[in-house]
Amino acid sequence: MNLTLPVDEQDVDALVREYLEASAATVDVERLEREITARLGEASVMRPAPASRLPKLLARTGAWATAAVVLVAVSAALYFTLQPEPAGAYALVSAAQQSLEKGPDRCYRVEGRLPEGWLKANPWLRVGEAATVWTRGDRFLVSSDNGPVDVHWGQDESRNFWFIAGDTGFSFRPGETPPILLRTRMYLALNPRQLLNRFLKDFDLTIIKDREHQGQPVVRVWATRKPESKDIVFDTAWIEIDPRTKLVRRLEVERNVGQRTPPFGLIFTFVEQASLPASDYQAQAHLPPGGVLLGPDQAAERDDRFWELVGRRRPAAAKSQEAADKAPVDSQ
Amino acid sequence: MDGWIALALPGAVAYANSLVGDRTHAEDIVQECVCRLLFHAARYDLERDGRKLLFRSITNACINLHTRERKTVSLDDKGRADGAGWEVADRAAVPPPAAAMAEELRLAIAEGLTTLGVRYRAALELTSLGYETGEIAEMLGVTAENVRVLVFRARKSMAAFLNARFTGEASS
Repeated sequence: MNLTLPVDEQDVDALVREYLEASAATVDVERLEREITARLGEASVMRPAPASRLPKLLARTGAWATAAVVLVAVSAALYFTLQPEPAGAYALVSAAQQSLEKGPDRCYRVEGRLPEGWLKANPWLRVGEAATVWTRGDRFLVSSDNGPVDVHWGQDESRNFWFIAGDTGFSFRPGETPPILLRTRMYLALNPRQLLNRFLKDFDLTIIKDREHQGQPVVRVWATRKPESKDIVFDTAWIEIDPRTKLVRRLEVERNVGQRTPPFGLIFTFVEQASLPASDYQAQAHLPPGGVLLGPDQAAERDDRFWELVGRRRPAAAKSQEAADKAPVDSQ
Repeated sequence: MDGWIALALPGAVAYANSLVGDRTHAEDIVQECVCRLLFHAARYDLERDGRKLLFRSITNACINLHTRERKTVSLDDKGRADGAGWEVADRAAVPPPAAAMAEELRLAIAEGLTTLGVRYRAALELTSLGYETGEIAEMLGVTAENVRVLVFRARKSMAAFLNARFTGEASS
């Protein structure tokens, strides 16, 4: 640092900058990174899953529960001892989410155990017994062809939400989507990227163990809904992530609906596939020959046809907007 | 760990150290801020905005610390702006006068910065690091005009302090 006297006010910035740079040069970056990594690991281990969220089989007796907790703790400790990377459950899930956001198209096979009532009430947004989900950032495409009719629905690059019913396609801009669809879409929540976002915000995440999938290491993350989280459909999830590529290989989400009813949920399994043409994320690509797409430009006709299709009376505009504002939207 | 973190850490620690006046405390704050950012990585483009968000987070943490804590000064620490106490430096190891002068200037700047209020200090340091007025205003939660006033007064005060220290006269 050089000093010219008298010091002019304009010289102060440079002096301060040089002072900060000299101070920065003495920082041990590697040690700090190690300490941050350790903190991230501690944070994930220090958020144990509530006992009531543990699998029922293990939670039946106190002894089993104790054994399970000890097993989890030992597994986690072993994991962190043997695997310095990735740092923690949140960092890993966050990296996986970013990978889905920026990475290439990802294809998942989705198998559902959903209440019959939902499937009957929402014939256009369904997964049937199995469906395929493609995702690329905000875009996603759900295709199911094992039901009585082919089902296609998704979101395009402008975040317009669309679905096909018969020979008619319906497309809604963000903010236009009828609340009934928003809720259904949230319940089915077939966009893995949005699901991971939910886990980061509203779930406690814990790395339980690592395993192998076809010779490749896979980290299993156990997610339990935070008690204070509202408007969350699923209670628990298993997320299996490749720690090297941050690829989500398997995702199993589950909702507990009472003692007598078996839980329902969805299982996403990664499928090796080539990328999907960008146009396939658009509704037009899935319209049958001669079909018509009703979009924002034909909003009045589209909404009339939609409510006719749903078989319900169209809500007053104000009520609809109010409901839309209150509805938990996953599209953000 | 992400590349942006390794690049941002030295400057972040130096900045936090200057604001809180304690290296260990500064490192703790920086680590905490990095962890918080990584926990919420899904909300941000950290490759692009991580450094700015980290400095904002550090600024808030340090200002909160100042408003929450009244710092106590140990007699052992008195006299050294960097809190290293009265330990005598090994002068034989750094004989060149230039190094001694640089060290004297470093200590003077450190001491001068501690005479500024934490918001003045933050505004001046962020300006010297190249942040724009609007960004600093956002970080400090004040208006751009306030930032300009903070920086103007901080520069004036620092220049006066350094001139008094090295020439025995205050600048005009």
